[in-house]
Amino acid sequence: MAATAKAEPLTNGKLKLMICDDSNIIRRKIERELQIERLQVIATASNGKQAVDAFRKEPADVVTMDITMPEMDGIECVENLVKIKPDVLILVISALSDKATAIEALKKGANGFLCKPFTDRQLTEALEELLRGAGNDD
Amino acid sequence: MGILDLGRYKGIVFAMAGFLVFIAVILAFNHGIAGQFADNVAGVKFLAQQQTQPAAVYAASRELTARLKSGQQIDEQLEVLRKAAHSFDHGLSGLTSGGMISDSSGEVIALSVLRGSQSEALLGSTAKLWDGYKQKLTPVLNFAGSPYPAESAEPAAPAAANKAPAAVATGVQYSPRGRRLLASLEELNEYGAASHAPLQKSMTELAAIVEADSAKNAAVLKGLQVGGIIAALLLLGAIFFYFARNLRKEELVASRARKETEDILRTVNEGLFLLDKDLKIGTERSMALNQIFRRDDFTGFTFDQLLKAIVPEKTLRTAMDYVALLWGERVNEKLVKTINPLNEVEVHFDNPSGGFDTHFLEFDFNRVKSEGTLSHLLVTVNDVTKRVMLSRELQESQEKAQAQLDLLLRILHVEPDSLTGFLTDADVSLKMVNSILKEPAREESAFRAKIDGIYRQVHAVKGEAAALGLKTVEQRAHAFEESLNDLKGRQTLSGSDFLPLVVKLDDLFNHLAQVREMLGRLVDLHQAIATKRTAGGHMDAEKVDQWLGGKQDPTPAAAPQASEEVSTGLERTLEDLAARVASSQAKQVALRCKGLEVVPETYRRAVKDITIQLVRNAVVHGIEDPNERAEAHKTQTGTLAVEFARRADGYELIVQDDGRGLQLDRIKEVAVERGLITPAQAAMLDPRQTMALIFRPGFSTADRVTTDAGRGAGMDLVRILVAELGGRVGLASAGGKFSKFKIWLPAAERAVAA
Repeated sequence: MAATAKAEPLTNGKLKLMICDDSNIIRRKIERELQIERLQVIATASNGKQAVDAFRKEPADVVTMDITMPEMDGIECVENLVKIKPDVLILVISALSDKATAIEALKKGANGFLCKPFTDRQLTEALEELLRGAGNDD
Repeated sequence: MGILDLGRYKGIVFAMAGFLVFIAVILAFNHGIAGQFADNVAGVKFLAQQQTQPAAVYAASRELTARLKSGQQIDEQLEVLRKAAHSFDHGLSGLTSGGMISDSSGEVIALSVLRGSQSEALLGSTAKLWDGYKQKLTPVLNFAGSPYPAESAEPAAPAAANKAPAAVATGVQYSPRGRRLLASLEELNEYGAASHAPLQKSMTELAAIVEADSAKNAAVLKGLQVGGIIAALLLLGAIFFYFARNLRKEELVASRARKETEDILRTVNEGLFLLDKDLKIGTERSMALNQIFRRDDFTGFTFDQLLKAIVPEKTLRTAMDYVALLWGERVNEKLVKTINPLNEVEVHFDNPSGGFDTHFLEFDFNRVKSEGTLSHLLVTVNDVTKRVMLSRELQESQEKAQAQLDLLLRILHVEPDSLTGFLTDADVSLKMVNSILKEPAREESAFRAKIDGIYRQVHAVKGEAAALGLKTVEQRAHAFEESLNDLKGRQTLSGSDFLPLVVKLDDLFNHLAQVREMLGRLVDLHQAIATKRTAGGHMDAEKVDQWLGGKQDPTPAAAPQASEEVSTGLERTLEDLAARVASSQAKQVALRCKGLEVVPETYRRAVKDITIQLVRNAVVHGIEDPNERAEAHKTQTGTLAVEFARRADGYELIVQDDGRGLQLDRIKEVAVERGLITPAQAAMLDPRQTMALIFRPGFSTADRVTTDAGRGAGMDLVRILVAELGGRVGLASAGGKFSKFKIWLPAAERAVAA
């Protein structure tokens, strides 16, 4: 993996968030409803390929990931992101039609799962739990 | 953590150390006393020797006197006296100056016991007595030279030696010195006779004191040893008791805790158990588990073995993947609960009396961490069958209520005339199905003919119900059709295969009866309201009550409708159908009907069936969606025309739309897919022959089977209906522009009854 990614923290001390979903409605919903002070959106991607490219340039600390996307699906994307930055926190956001697929994504290295459709409160709670869980492991 | 961190063993280590210190102290003390004991033994020995000295001094002085008197040599005896006196003097001075003695090896020992007041007094009086003795001794011991005169000494000596002492004594000559010595000796002997016994007695007494001390020491030593052993035993006993008590206490606490755990596990309603990394089920588990999984023994069981017998392979795989995830450190436990595949899982237990029992189980997994690392998964299992069943029942009853409400609302929206017409037609159709079912048949071909006949009738009912939006009727007819398709697909048929159809038919009959009854009540209500209006606001209470009670209106039903009304009824039905199908397909359609009022009574039913089929097909397949139409520079609303007209030689029915026309390539593709023709045949077909494919049984261009699009039976049905009436079907189409179905029917008199 020729990852020339530099993981520089933001000057304001916030964690970097990348939103990955082929629906721009969902992308905007996440951006708009993000109520966690510690997170700042640095990139959005509408397919897995875009996400991996953006991640190589500037790796995020936290990623929200859709599963069914064109070009490269969420499962493959998760696999690639974890290869580039093993400690990245990934929240899979998907409909709960097929649990096996969601489990597949978690096997590849995602950390948590949020079911679509979700409320802003559910999103906030899931992201906070994701950050808290990472703190516990230290 | 360190070497001093002894934890629960601290008590026992301290106790043992204390015990060892105690033993060491006892031994040291013992050692001191034992040393003193040896000293006393030496003292007693010394004093025994010393007590013989005064007698020895006295004996020596008397011997010396005897020798002197007999004129013998006295030097040797003088020396004996000197030695004896010196020995006693030396011994006594040692004793008086702090009980110092020399033991047999010449080592000086201090006998502390002789420093006591009793001994000192004794020693004082002894010393005084001895001092007197010494004064008497001094002139004797200082004697030097010869006691005999020089000249007589030599010869006298042998003579003296040879003669009797008495004779000698009388004849002994002394020098002046000798006479003095004799006098001193006489004095000494006198003193000695009086004092040697007391001196000896004092020494004996001293020895007794030392011996008594020695005995005391021995007693102390013995006491100390016995006391030490007793104390050591007591201490050991105390330590043992203390630890035994602690151990008992700990055991008591542990056994109480264990009892509580057992009580919990026996009583709790949930199935509880632990899973280790190899997915082995732990030994501690709740009793509820036995009931949930219908087994008593879980020893050595793994989780997958437990599930294998009761869930499908795919669920098992997903579940194992999920459990494996929980063992990983990456996944956040709380954020994966929603994808737990065993959250509400359907399981099947073999029933000993045949078949199996279906249950729903709810599994919950929680990580158990000990000392920071994941050691187990705590699994909680609940049998939620009742809950699931209840919620399903609730959902079903809600759906049923919703369906009834929908039906009622639909009936309210449909023109009563159309509905009555439909009910009449459907009744006829179902009766026909019934009679077809009863027809005797033995051969395969007869069975197939039966199926086709029934299919046509049911399909017609379904189409009309759909046109009127009677969803519940349509669904039942659709289910009937599905059963028929199932029969069609079978290799061989027998009479018993038709039995399930009777049930389905019964269901349809009953349902239609319900619709009829509901309609009847509505009509009554309608009339009641109308009467009220005409009567100027007066409501016929009796009538409303009757309606509410579900009784039929005693007044005769309305006169049979004229054919004209029926035809306009058809027009409304078609408009309704077109609008409904269009909205379900997100399309816009304008339907224009013409001449339907002139359809002769004999063709009424057939025309209705044919037009419903063609209108539905036109909206589903012909008319494009608004976007597509806009791209093709067409108006967004598609136009659909149904025209019926009398011609010189019969009747003509035209159904035409301005949609995308027949797509010949797609038709070929589908025909090949459906196995109606081979690809090679497809390549040979001209447009006319291609279009004819859509009338073949089993052809459908709809990708999915829905109630709107059917499964291609529609066009087949049109062809059959027309053929039965002795008519012809013509079809014209231009790609992207239009499709036009032209149906010619013979004059009514020639037509065969439908």
